[in-house]
Amino acid sequence: MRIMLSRVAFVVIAAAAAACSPGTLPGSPSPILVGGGGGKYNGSITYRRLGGNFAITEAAQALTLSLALRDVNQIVGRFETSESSGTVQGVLSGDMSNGSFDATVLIVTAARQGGATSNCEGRGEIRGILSGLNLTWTGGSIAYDNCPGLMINSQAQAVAVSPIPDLSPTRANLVITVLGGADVRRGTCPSGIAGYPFTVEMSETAGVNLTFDSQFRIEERRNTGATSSNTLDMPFGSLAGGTRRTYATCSPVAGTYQAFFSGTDASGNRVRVASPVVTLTP
Amino acid sequence: MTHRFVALLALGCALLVPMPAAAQIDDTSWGVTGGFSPQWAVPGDWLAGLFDAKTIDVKGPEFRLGIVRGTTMGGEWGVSLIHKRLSKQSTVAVSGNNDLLTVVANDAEMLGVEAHRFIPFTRINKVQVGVNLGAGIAQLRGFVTGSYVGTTSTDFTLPFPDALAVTGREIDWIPVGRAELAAATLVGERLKVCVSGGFNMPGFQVVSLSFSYLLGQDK
Repeated sequence: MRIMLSRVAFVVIAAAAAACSPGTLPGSPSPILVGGGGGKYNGSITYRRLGGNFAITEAAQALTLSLALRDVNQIVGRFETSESSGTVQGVLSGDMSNGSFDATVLIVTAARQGGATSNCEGRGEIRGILSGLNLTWTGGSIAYDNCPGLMINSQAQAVAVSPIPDLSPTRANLVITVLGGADVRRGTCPSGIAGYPFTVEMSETAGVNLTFDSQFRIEERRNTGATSSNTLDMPFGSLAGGTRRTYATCSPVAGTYQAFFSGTDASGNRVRVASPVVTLTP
Repeated sequence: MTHRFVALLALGCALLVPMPAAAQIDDTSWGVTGGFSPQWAVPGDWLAGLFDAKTIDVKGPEFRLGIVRGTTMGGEWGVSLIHKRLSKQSTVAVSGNNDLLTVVANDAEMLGVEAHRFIPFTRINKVQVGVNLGAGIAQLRGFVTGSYVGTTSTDFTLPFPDALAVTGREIDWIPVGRAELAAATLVGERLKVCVSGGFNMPGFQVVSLSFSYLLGQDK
């Protein structure tokens, strides 16, 4: 009788164990969905040196990229690799699971010359493709202001690992967006003349105080002419963590507009951010 | 025009009518005070250098409310809350490293505290003639618009203390003060009305009206 009871207990336990095996759970984990407000991507990036006397790491580096969709069609993000980091600001066509974007990358790259390593600050344009969980970007050239002659290009592949963009709690995250979207239609300027009025919002989203450099830069292309650059004095010195400010701009002619801001956060990190390219459409 | 002349004449007569001494408060006592200036203004570029500005054209009304201690026919001193509003026509042109930023007051004000003293030095019938002196400090509050005027305009909404940030200065508080010629008289037994004009930091005012109402016992 005791042996019989033992066999029954064994059978019951075995059946229970089988019922709890992974293949027979009552539900299955939800797939990661990207397509709403953004996502966190992990992958790799490869840089190729196109010119200059600096040496950079050209082997593939692990890439962590966070992207967020803001105000209609603007994407903002930040990426990290072992020897570079930077920000991405662009305009999205389609959506985050099936779309493409053209973006400005502001990057800091470790580059070596004569045994010394420099943090080179560069800027370039990339084109990204979003397909399901996958992201790829290919870049035109990235040129560096403080490392003369250095020019590289980049190619990255990544897969979404979370629908939540990842922000460092100790690094300021300055986001520049155009209220209402980066495509601006003809209207009336505050002065009363016809033009393209729009409002740029600058917000710090990580809760870290930021001190701006004394100047910022605006690049404009009027109609189909060449791009011109204008440096203006920064009219305020700092942005408290978690706060925002706006400024209104109005151009009398069609073309494009882009602003560049830089500064240092409370942790001593260098911050460089651009607005998306604003298209002033006739 | 005739009505205005009659009103002024009536006010002048009221100020010059002698008041029986029995109705006056000769012992020093506490009271309340208030005042209004329709417009104070910083003329021309008078303070431009002090604020690292190219031009300053700032103006607006002022209100004051506080407590006072004195006698009806003597001097008095007090402490008042002062509120100077900047009119929307107030502008400051500030030069940074590259550009000229034009700052226009949107919704800007100065709120502060001022200690003041009225010192009479002569009396003509019931009218005391003297000086109003005061000093204090005020906080810059509200918002201004800083504009870069060019082919493409750029207008920043800034907290008032950031109005001079392109010069590397942020000013949260400024000293205030006054040095005015003043004429005061009794209206009734306890109410002293004062008309004054002169320096009112950070500018000048042509005319300011104020009153003080003493709460002490009649003799």
